[in-house]
Order: sequence, then structure tokens, then C-alpha cells
Amino acid sequence: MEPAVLATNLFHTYGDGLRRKTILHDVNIEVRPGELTLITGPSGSGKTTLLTLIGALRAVQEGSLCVAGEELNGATPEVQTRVRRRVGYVFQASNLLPFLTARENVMMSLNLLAEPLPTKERYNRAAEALAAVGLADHLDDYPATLSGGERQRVAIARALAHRPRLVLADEPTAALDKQNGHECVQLMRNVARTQGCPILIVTHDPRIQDIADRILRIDDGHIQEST
Amino acid sequence: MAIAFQLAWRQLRHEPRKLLAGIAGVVFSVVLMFMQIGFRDALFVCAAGIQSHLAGDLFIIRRQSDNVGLVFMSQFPRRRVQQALAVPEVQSATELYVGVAQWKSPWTARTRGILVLGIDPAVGALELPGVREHLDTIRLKDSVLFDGRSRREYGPVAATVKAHGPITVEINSRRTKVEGLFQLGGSFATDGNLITSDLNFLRLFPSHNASQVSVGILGLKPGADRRVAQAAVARLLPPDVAVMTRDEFVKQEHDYWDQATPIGFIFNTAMVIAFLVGIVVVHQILYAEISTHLAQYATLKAMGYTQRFMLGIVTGASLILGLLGFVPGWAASLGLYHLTASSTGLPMTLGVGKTTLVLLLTMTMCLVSGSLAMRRLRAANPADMF
Repeated sequence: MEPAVLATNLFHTYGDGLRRKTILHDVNIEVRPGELTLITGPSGSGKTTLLTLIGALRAVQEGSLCVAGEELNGATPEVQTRVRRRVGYVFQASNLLPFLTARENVMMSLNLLAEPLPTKERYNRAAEALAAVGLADHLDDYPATLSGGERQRVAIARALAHRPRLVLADEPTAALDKQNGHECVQLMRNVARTQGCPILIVTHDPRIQDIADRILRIDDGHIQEST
Repeated sequence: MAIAFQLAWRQLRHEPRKLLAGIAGVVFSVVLMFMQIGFRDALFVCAAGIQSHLAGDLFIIRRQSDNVGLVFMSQFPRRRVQQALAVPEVQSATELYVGVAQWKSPWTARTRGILVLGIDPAVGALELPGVREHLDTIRLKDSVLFDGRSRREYGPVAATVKAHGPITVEINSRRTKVEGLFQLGGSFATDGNLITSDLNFLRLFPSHNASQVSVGILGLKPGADRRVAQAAVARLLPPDVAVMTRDEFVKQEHDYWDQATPIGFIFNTAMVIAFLVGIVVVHQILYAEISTHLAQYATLKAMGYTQRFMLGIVTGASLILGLLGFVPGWAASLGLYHLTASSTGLPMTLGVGKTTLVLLLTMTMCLVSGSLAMRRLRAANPADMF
């Protein structure tokens, strides 16, 4: 089976001239289906840059990056959009639309499927996704009435409801307490496992390192496996 | 796109107070635009009220280098009108005297300018309700007809005449009897009108030279070609006068008020300001909406929503604001039109034409605000936000 992410000789720099700073230096990684991978490293080490490159949010400068079956080096906006739709994203803040209910927020990711679902089907799929993260009783609640942990779980449901080929999470636990943070990562892993979908989490939260299958450490733009 | 519009509506609805503020802004500029267009239109209709009711086919006025309103026109020799009878197509010729007199109100003793029209009572060249039945009355020395739709500052003339018969007033310091009423209405040049015979006109304006008239009115023989007759009269008469059809005569009055006076400019400026106010208000609302939801919009983009979809949300929001503001704005304007018409006598009419025009302007206004606010969307770049 092809890897969900395959980076080969990936370089990334910011700025020009004297202020030019290499943020990723010859990165080679492969993420296989079903794996939960943590990417750790100090601030400014390039973790988030790597994640935004994989999520097709940033243009690849040098090297090859294959995500969900598409080469992202030189990808057109159309290819970028296609890859984004095959990826589920969880951010540090839940970024739910405040004017939509939990269910409607989850439906936002179901609107973009390559083969569109009828409204009723999207409606049910959103409810299932919320039930899977333990929010079956909060389908019609607005984000403002949910707790921080519940909001993040809605965001996880949103990232997983459309059965992505890959889930990317950027510090998903930073705004949560230890218990909620742990629960959230656990949920992501459970749902992703049943869907066979790999997860990449950028974090420097040591509290969640015990549930990772692999931990990658970035230091000064170089990546290395830590076991 | 349907989803984008739905989102736009949910987003606006989510904060009812902001939505109301936005709608209020649109209502304000819609009402402002309707009133400006209404006034402007009424001005044109009123300004050419006399031209529209002269009984004739061709009109002779003094040739002037620029358009001048009827009230301010120079006179020309009366002979020219009679000379025109030499053209075979011309059947009748008569004159109109125009002057502004001082009306002294018998109730308050205050004076006020009033427009006086002098006609030949044997011809009766003004087709206004009330004129024909009073043609014999104005033959009487020092008698006039009063415009029942003049502004009320002249006093309760119409009511008194109706109830108790003729009243005596002072016009240009001359005791004159109001013997009857006709209907025309004030305009931007005058608040009220009087009609009298040519002889009485000259009594009211002793310094007016009887051989100088303001307008010559020609009637054509049945079946005569208006254009041919116009050219023939123009060829015959010296170049100190111009010969016009009714449409040209009306248009000259329009153009005078629109172009030669600040009035057209004032109305246009007010329209532009109403439009700009609308743009600013709607832009504020949309810009604030986008700014508040920047992180969420960036998230939508990261999920694979396109820039076009984001533009759809903003466009949807601007069109919704436009429509929600237009409807109450239209209703309020309808009320204000009635109010204005009844208090000023201006013919304020709110028809399909004006409604369509203001609706289009409103939607354009909202779309312009929307496209200005869209620049803010560029900040919703997921790579920079996370």
C-alpha cells in the first residue's frame, strides 16, 4: 500500500540574502496507514512548517512531497484543494463556526466529498461522527455553549467525518488540561484506527507521548526518529 | 454557492444587533436615494408644468446662448408671433406674458413672490382645470385666477374663494380681485401662480412693454407636419427667436434646472453621498464579520474550501443586507413621498422605474462594499495562521 505521506529530500527556507534561514533540511519521512506519529521539537524547529507543507497549505520549495497520492512540488491550486479535501485538520483552537451547531460544523467537511452525499446522509454521518467522540447529546448545541474539551472533540469529529486519508493535528492539546488532552488524542487514535487512517501530530506536550506509535524529533531543520 | 449564501445568512443572523445596524444603514441610504430621485423628478415635472399645459404645437421664445428657465427668459417682439401666421401650416398664433409679482397676503400682510401668466382671454391658451370656465371672468378689470395648489403661505385663498366667492388682495400694490381658481401647483421657481388676461397683466406690471412677450404659441392646421412647419417658421422669422416643439420646450426647462443651476448638481451629489454612506456602513459590517471569523475562514480553506467559496459568503452577506435594507427603505420612502406630496404639492410618485433604479443602486452599493471587504479575506491564509 502506498504511504500516506512520502517526503524525499525536502528543504524549506524563509527570507532571502543574509537573513535566509533554512527551516527544513533534507527531510525524509514516510507515514504508513494506521500509524500515529508525533513530531516534536523546540519552538521554531520547523514542525509546523512541515505540517503545513504536508497539508498543502504552503507551497513546496525543494524536494518531493507526496500526500494522499498527489505530488505537492509544483502543485496547482486545484491539486492543493484536492489534497486538502483528503486531509483532516485539527488545530490548536477548535476554530468552529460560532453561528453553526456542532452537527452543522461537522457537516462542513462532508460538503466537500468528491462524490456528494444527499443532505440527509450528511446529516446522519455528522451525527455518527459526533457520537464517536462522545457528543451524541450535543448535536444541536452551538460552540459557545460547549466546554473547551467538547469544542475540540467537535473539531476532531469534523476532521474525521469525511474519512480522510490522513489526519494532521497542530498542538491539538495545547489549550486543554491533561485529562481532556489525553482523551482527545485517544479519541483521534481510536477513530483513525477503525478507519485505518494515519495521524500526524505536532506537539511538544510530553503528556501524550505514551500513545504514539512513532515519535519524530526535529532539531534545527533536521529530522530524526527517536525511539 | 447555495451553501455559501446559507452560511452568509446564518452568520448575519447570529448577531442580530449587528445585522440590525447594517440594515438600518442600508435603509438610510435607500430612503436618501429615493427622496433625492423623487425630488429631482418632481422638480422636472413641475418646472415644465406650464410648458406641458400650453395649448399649441410650436412655441416661439427669444433665442439665447444658454438654456434659461421660463421665469427668467428675456422677451421678444410680439410682432414675431403674428408674422408666423404667414406660414401656411400655421392656423393660430397667440402670446403668453410671464412675470413675477408681489402678493400681499390679506391675512398676514406679508408679501411673497407669485408667478403671473397673462393670456389672451379670447384664445385661452392654457389647458388647465378651471381656466376655460373663467376666461370671461378675467376679462374684468383687475381680476385674476389663483392656483388652488399654490403653497399655503399665500393664505387660505382657495378655501375662502370656494366658500365665500371672490376676495380682494394686493398684487404689486394694486388692489386686485381673485375671481376664481385653477389647478397647476408650485415648482422650484415659484410657490404659486396667477392667471389673468393680457390687459390685466399689463396693469399689474406697468413698466412692462406691451409689445414684448415671453412665449409665442402657434397652433397648426390639422394634418400639418410639425417638423416641416417648425422649419418653415424658423426660416421666416429673424434669428432673434427660436422655434421649438413642445418636447424641446420641456427639455430646455429640464436642462436649465439640471445643468445651469446648482439644483441638478445638488441632487446628484446627494445621490452620490447616499450611495457612499451605504457603501461605508455595509463595508464596516462585512469587514467586521470577516475579521471576527478570520481563523474560522482560514480553517475552512485548510479543509479545502476555495477562495471562490469565501467570496461567495461575502457576496451573499452583502446581497442579503442589500435586500433586507431595501424593502423597509422602500416602504418608508413610500410614506415619505405621500407626506412630501401633501405638504409641498410636489408631484412625488414612486413607480416601477424609480423602484428598479434604486434597487439596482442598492445592490451595486452592497456589492461594492462586499468587494472592498474581500481584500480582508486575503489575511485568512491558513499557512500564516497556524
